[in-house]
Amino acid sequence: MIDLQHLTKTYAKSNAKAVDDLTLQVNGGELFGFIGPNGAGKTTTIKLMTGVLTPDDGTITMAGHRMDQERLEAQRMIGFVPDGNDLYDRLTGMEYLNFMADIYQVDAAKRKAHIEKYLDLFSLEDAINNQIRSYSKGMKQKLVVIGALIHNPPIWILDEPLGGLDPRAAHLLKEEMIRHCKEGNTVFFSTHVLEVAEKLCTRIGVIAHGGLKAVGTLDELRSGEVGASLEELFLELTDDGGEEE
Amino acid sequence: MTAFFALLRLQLLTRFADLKPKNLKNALREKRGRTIGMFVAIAFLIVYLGVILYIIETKALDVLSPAAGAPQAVDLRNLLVIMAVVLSTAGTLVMAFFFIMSALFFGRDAAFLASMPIKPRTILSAKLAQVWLSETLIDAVILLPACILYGTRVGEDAVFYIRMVLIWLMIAILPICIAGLISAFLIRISGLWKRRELFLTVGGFALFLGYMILMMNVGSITGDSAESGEMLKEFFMNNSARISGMTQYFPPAGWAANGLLGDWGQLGLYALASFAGLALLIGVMGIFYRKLSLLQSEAPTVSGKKGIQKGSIREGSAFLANVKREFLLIIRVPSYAINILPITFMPLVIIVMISMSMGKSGGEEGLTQLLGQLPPVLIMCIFAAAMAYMSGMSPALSTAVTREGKGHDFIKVLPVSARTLIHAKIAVGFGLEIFGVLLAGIAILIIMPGYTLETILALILCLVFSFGCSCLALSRDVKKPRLDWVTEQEAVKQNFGVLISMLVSWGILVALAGLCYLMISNGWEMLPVFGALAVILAAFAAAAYRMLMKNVDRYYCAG
Repeated sequence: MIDLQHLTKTYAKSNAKAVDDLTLQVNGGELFGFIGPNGAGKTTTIKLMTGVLTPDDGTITMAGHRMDQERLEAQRMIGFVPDGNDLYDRLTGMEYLNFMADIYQVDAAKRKAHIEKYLDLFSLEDAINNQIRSYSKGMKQKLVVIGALIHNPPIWILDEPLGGLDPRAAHLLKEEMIRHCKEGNTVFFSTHVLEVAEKLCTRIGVIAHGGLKAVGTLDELRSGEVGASLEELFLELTDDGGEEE
Repeated sequence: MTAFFALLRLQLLTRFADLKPKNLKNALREKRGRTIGMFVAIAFLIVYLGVILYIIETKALDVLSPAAGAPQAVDLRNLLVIMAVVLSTAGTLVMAFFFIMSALFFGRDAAFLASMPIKPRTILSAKLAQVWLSETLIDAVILLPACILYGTRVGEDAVFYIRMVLIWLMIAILPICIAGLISAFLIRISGLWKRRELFLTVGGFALFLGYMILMMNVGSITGDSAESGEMLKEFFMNNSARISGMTQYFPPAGWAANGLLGDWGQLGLYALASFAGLALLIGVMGIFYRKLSLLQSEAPTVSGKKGIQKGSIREGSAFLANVKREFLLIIRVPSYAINILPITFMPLVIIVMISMSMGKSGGEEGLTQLLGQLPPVLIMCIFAAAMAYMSGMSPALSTAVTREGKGHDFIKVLPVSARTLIHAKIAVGFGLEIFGVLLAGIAILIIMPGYTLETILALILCLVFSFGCSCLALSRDVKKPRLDWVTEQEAVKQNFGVLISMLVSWGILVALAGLCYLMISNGWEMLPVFGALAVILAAFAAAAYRMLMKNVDRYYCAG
């Protein structure tokens, strides 16, 4: 589903490589956790995967579509939940969802069914006709999630998705991520919460200084270090920390 | 450092960060062309306005000066000073209103500052001081040149210049107090409505129109005199009662003018009124400021509408979805609405202003008579220029990408081609311009009947010109958007791109006027002139569109 080959990205005003020769494949049905210290290159990698940034080197293929050759097709395969969601505060929730549905060309019947289902699931019915700026951080996050899933994307990418969510909403989101995977789709998310990655993910990738330090299931990462928690592994793999992004 | 000065310093550092020597040095190193271009453009604007002011004011003093030996009860040259005071006061009132709204009530730092151990009055005072500083600098451009020219011509002594500096430093205070009270009132009242942004937009728009009407009254000319000196003299003579009237409606302006011209008592009265007004504003508004400043961050909710409403699910294309999003954001964000929508109606206002001003001496007949003396080709050119004058001033397209701000990255994730996104922006921005120009065209047909062909041809020329200018404005914003803004006001108002677009469109308009002059003076009739202009403008619009698309493909949505 996701195929990243030798990705490299250097920002124009920096000599340091934000992402350095990163190669990674994530298959359908996988729930992939992407962890790393601040400034390690997680958000840059996600920006490359979603087409926000163009890599200096390497290729990105999303559900069979090369980002450099068929950008729009590749982007249609993705549902994206960005980190920080202060988008279109003056639109109402319903206007935002209609906008997203129009962009992804979801027909009226499907979008109605989808919106009804998720409004009920996330308890947003009362607020959906209000402007987004009246929402709490958690409510905004829920709305962005509904919008990202409106076209039932084969690849769902989330950048730090659990920030600001109350325990119930966080639980619902995790359940939704698992459900999406079980339908054969791919979920790729970055997080700082190691416990979530540990409990939720089928595979985990650890990034530091722009490079992939380790990737595999929790058991594979432990590689014989009996009893080591993900936290201990994380600290070991990224022992010199990282710079602030 | 006290909290007041710490806050003031913070605000000034934020506002003028680009002018700090270190930042300037960096800018010159990293973006040399852009930085130098910015200074050249600003210098050009200052020189351009300065020269116009100098010419008008010198000419005004010439025609108002008494003939040698002729007795004169009142020195008419005083009118220039009085008018400068009135214009400074009125201008500050309108400009300060929008600035105060933005700084006091729409700043995103309201909640942050409210959480700090600082008295609300201190926060209010620091924000007002920032407004005062900014407005005083603007007033310097209006008031000081007129006073200095007057002082030099009349032969005033040094004391006059001391009075001038005192009045200049105080002239913004009372308008700021009035604007502060009006904006506080609007903010409080708007809190009672669900659609508060609409209320604020309409309130701001009404104030702007009020200002235009005021200017219309000051700016009336008779048009009877062919010679510019006579025309200017008539302008002052006909307006002397009106200018004096304004100082009666707002006595402090009269006190300031009289104080400036030598009456120390009235100068003292003006100072007293200014500082009393400021003390009153800070004293009274300080009590409510904390609550008012947080009011706008409390978004209203629509009660009673739960879940999916009937008709709320509608299918549409990606293009239309983006058109709708662009349009909704323009009309719902007060800073965007206040800065963009008035410009849409400006061609209409200009046409009405011209007709009212010119018609004042002889009513409708006077205007018809005047137009009857002009050849059709000139009428067409005047109509087209009057409508096209505002084309480059609209920030709708010159800030269309900048307004995306932090959401720009999100837009890039959407599976919509860059050209579709840009076409949606053009549809909204240029659509507003078409609407405004058509309104102006209809106004011409109603106010000045008998010039249908001239009006239609002028409309065509204006729309093609506007399209070209719109593409140029958007092209620049596509290439160099400013996405790191904090408040919407920064995105749409404090944006260098708007200034550049305005200057470029005026420059093209001046060049076209020169071309028209050449054609008309060589005896070209209306249709040949129209044909030539249409071809030139169509080529310009096509080139501008091509340049825009080139920039879109190269920069917009590029990682």
